Amino acid sequence: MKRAEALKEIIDVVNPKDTFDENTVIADCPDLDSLGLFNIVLFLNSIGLTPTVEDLAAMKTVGNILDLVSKE
Amino acid sequence: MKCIFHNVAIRSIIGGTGSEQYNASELVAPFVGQDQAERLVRSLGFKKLRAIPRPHTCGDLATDAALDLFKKENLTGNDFDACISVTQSPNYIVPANTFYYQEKLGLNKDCLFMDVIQGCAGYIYGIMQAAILIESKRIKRVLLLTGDTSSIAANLITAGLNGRTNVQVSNAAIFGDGASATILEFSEDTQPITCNIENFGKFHTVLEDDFCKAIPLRPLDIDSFKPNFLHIDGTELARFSMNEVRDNIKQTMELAEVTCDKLSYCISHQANRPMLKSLARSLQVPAEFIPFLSENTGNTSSASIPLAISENVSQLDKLKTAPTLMTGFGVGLCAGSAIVDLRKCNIYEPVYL
Repeated sequence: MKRAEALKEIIDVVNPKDTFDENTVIADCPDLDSLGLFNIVLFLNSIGLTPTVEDLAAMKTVGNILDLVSKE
Repeated sequence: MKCIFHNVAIRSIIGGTGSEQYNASELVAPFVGQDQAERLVRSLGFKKLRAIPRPHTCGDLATDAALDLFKKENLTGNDFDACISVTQSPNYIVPANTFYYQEKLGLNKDCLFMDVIQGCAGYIYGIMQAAILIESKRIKRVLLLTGDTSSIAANLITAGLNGRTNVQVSNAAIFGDGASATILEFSEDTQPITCNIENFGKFHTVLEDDFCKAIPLRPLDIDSFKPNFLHIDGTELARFSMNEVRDNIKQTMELAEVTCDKLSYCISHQANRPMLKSLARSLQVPAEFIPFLSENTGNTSSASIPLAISENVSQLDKLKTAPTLMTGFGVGLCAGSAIVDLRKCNIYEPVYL
């Protein structure tokens, strides 16, 4: 899956109040709280990746999450 | 357990839910703050939650649904050979809900009673159990009653946190109260029903009551009401849903020798919006194939599939064009799917209590 497509899917599943991009710092984005990250885990599970919420919380930016997808 | 039933028809379906409709964000805000409450609603997709006024029970709601269905179908309690109740919130531990239904619905004394304790996959369990009875040739018509009073929001309003700490209050933005009544009967002129139920007891702690691990009893009055609060291991549930549930659906379609394009919809247990979207993605089908239909009702456990159909029958126009896949998953953990033909089924709008 391409990064842009993955970002679009992640935004869709999180359904944030204000949109975010690759450079968004996870800790600074209220919509990327534990529930938001859980929804991203759901998305990643649905394409065969199995990180935990804790794995994602340890990442700095949304771009780091997209790195997981683009490695596949 | 995988089975194909050749002589069982779903004759009619009706849902039931609470007349009280709460704004989910307003309900949860006092416990988590306004911003977090709004995020919960945006994320999970449940804007409003329906609940029946306490101390009414799921049994009361299912009774109302069944009586309305009897009237519409010109039937009485005497016309049934068996009654199956599926709930995790029965009126009492003893006696079983079916005895309550017998009195309220006029079921005769020769009617076979079965009470099944199942949640999110309970509707599929009920259909399969009813089909097994009907294919035994000893039972011609079954009344299937499902539902739960799962509304944590209503519990919070009624009893607050009741001294408990570490409650997953966010779950209050998910669950509503619901029930359903379905009539299944023997038919020589119907399409097969294909069922596939799988159980995963090793995950029994993924969804459980966080305090007493017991169901609430029917209270004699509001002061004696004991609320239940569910604890959910979201990560494990996500993994289960995107793997075991997806595989259960695929196996069911293989057994029925159909593909998604030959089906009207997958009417799923209405777990929450992102769960259904991700399930669609994992199956590589359009999101519209697994519609999220409970934005203004909530997740109603074993009632969510029939209630979603009943509430949205006017929008689900494809139901009358092709067989329908139903899938339930959750507490147990359990995953169950059924491919049924609703083209001749009478589907009625829900009753409200």
